[in-house]
Amino acid sequence: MFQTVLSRIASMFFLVLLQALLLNNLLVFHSATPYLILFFIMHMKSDLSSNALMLWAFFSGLLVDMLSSTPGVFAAASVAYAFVRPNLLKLCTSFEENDAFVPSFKEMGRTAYWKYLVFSVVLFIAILLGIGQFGQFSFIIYLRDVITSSIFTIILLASVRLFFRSNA
Amino acid sequence: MRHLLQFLIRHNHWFLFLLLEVFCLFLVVRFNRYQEGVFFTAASGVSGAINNWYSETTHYFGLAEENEALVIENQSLRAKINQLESQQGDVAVLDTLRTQSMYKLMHLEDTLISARIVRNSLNKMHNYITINKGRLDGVRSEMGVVGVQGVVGVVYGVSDHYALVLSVLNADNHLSCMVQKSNYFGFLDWSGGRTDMATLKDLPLHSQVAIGDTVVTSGYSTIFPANVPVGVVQNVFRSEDQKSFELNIKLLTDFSTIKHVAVVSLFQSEEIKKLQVK
Repeated sequence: MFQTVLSRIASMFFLVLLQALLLNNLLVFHSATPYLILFFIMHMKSDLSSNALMLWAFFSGLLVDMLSSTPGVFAAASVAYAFVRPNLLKLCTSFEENDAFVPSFKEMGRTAYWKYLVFSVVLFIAILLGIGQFGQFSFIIYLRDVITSSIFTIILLASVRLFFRSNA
Repeated sequence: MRHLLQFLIRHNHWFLFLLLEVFCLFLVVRFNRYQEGVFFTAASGVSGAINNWYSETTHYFGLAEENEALVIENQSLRAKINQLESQQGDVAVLDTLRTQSMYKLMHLEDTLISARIVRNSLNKMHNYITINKGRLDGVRSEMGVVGVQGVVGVVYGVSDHYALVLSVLNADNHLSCMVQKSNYFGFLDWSGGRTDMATLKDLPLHSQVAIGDTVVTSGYSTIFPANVPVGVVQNVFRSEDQKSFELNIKLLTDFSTIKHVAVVSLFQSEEIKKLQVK
């Protein structure tokens, strides 16, 4: 249990640093930014309580905010995603409530996992960019940014998932 | 109570979500300048709408008192308007008197005191006019009183705030007048009858007078300056004793409608009076 928590903390810091110091500065085609930090929350064990998940999401998002000078933005999006994640898993898989698994291609099946990945990424990025833009709303530009960032993030996360087996 | 607690425990993740999300949004609005601006603009709109609604509601319930205050204010404003209108009339008379060149009235040292007629009579043999200026306003006995159209009368009695004027339409008033064209003078006399007609008496038989000539004050008194209009000659006839002319004069002043007058205080009139007494 203690080792699990430690490894989670280590993963969290690694992803936070990667996201805040490197990936946030990428702007592919002037609109797309990959959000690898989502990987941390997405691939938590399915039987983790909602409260614990939200707290992990909150702290990881807050760390990214502190390092990228966007107070509250990542944290708000991460908490919102973490709140929705259990329902998203139910939607995309046929697992029972008590079954514990770490979301992956192997555990969920390709179709289910792709569905879960796409929904998660699009939802997270939509909330994140929505809070970030907050009123300077050009819907076309917002849509463009969401789509391009989502595509980029999906590709990145899928690649990382395939490369790493599990981070339970 | 137990059900409530069970409900709260069952849905505790909602409360944690709301708590964390509200805190995050607080951070967003508080520490991000752009979002802060947008938020406060929206918040101002909402609070403005609420304040407006509150203000309209309290205003509605305070309408009765406001109505009462407005009625009182209306009454005081009406009183002020009446007062100003009367003063305006006084000023208009003064302005007209000062600008009408036919008067050739005033030396700069002469004083005009504007007044309003508060009482007038036309149907007696001895008619008097009461004006709303008195001793405290500088009015004295034997000052002349003029209107915009012409002579009105002579101050007869004075109190602190009012004065009694011996009207031209008074059998005791014998104003010294002259025919403006020829300077032949006589005394104006009114012995009842029409209020727009008077008689200029004691003109010498050799005086050249024609119907339509203007009759003005002669200036041979300390009451009126010369050339203040009095009337227009309507008819010329000989007196009963055939030793002088008498002229029927149509008075220029309409005594039935006159409202505003001015009391004339001639420059150095006191000095002349003292000399006459000596």
